[in-house]
Amino acid sequence: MDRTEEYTALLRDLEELPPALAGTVGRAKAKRRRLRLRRCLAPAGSAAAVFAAFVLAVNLWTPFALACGRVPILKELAAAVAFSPSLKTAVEHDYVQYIGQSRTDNGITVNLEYLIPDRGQLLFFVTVTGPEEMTHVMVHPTCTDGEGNKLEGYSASSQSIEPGVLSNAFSLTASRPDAVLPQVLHLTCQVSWRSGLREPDAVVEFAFPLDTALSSQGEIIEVGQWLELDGNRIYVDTLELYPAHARLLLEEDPDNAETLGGLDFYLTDGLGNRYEDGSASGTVSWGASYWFESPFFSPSREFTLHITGVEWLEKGREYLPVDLNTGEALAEPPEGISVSARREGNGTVSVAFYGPQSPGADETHYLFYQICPMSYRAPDGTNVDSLGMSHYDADALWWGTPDEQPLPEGYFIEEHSFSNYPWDTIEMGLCFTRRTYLQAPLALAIP
Amino acid sequence: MTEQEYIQRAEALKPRLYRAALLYLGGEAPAVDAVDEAVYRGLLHYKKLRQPEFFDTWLTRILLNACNTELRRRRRELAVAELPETAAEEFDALPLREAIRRLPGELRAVVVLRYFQGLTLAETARALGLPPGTVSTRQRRALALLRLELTEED
Repeated sequence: MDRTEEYTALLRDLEELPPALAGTVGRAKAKRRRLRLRRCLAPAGSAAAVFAAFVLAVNLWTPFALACGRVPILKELAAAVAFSPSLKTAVEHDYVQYIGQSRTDNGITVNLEYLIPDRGQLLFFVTVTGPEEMTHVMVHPTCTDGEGNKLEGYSASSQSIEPGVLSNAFSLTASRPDAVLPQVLHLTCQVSWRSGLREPDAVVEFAFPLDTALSSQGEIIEVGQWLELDGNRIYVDTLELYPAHARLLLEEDPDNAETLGGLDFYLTDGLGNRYEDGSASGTVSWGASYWFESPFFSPSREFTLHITGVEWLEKGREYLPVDLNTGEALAEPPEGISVSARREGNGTVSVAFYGPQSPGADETHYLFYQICPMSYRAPDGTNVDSLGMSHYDADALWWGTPDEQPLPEGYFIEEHSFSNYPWDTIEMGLCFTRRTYLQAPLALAIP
Repeated sequence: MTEQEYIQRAEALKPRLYRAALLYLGGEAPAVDAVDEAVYRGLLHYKKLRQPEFFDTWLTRILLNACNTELRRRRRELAVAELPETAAEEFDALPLREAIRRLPGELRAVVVLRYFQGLTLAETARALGLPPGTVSTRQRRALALLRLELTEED
């Protein structure tokens, strides 16, 4: 067959379309619904956010090891983890516990299919089906051990998922290194799809033994090196490598003028593979540990850490006072960030930070970052609760109001809202006072 | 453009987007993922499209961004090394499909869009943000490497 014949044959082969392509528009609409939901509702911590990221403390009780055979890996699961290189690799290595339990309540069926566990987190993959009008759904777990004791040392988070699609509906994340798992895990899952209801739409319960042979795996690499980073000193302590995620542990020199607010980095191994920061469960950092895609299954143990950006919070500038009458900041805001505030007619107060998205953002890639960590103080020093916080891109600030003002291309807004706030000023907590992008990444070889 | 119009046009373009993604990424599942991502991003932004007559190249460009992101993210799994333009013998020895995947990135994009997605030279130039002359040059170089005798009108 010559090249022209090959070309003709290839064109013919390409005419065949996979059945999965039929659902593209439906999946796009469902994903947009989830995006809108995330934009509208507050993240973890806001009591009002029924459908927002949901966090609860749970206990751990008895350690136990359970042997588990290899599990049947469905194509569906491979598709559900395709977004994460770490999870994809973990699944390819059969690093999965098959659960395969189904429960129904009030016309809603929850299939608890798979668990990807490691020492730092448990990711649950679930399919939920129910009424036709159910366009999205959240599953909130309450976790106990075999004796009904609430678990400690782990927190749970949930995300809105599309009905009928196998998805990582909720996760448990270890909040301390000595957290251990029980022999048997009991889950009481509240299932909600209609916002505004006090009661969940369904409640289902699961119980299953945990495969601690999987969750006990991990490797700690001591680094022990100081770094001069952008005018401050950082101690790179250890790398913790787990099958489904990895952590970089840092410490700071107490004499630094600024505290470390955030870090952009990636890791490479001796084979040239690259592991990005962030994790499949959405966790970016936890205390002094920064999460990244795991090189656990890489045959290479020659790593290089590449730091590409850093956020610093100047000591003494942890809060920014804002005048709610004039809408102006009463001190210097973070570098490159502007602030505005307005009172609504219904007594609601809104404070907005706005600034350029991170480098690399374009009209199809939003790169927002957190400016205020949702900590606020009133003038008398008491803590203030917010209604919620949202990030969004917009052409204008206070769109559709008399205060509307245009924003430059590529800007985003971080907006915080407060109900019936009586004071004239508010102190907004800050994640950083300056951000630095390193043109040439700072590289650190890890022996 | 209304949402209904966007959906109709995206549905019509979807098979061509899939073919391009398949040649780019080399597998059915990642190709479907890339089309999904492109259609989703398009759904978020179709209102900003000022010239609907450029819909196909606009969505194709979004698809290429999705494919490139996917390639970067899955570098380990895909691990398909590009061959240099001097490797004529290696290209000859490869089946056409594989040879296309191992073309240098800038040549592969032109070949995929021109001869598998069916864009004209001008549309390809617009989708890639390049002058038509550059696209024409790359097209000639790519066809020579692949030993494919297709005219600019094909």
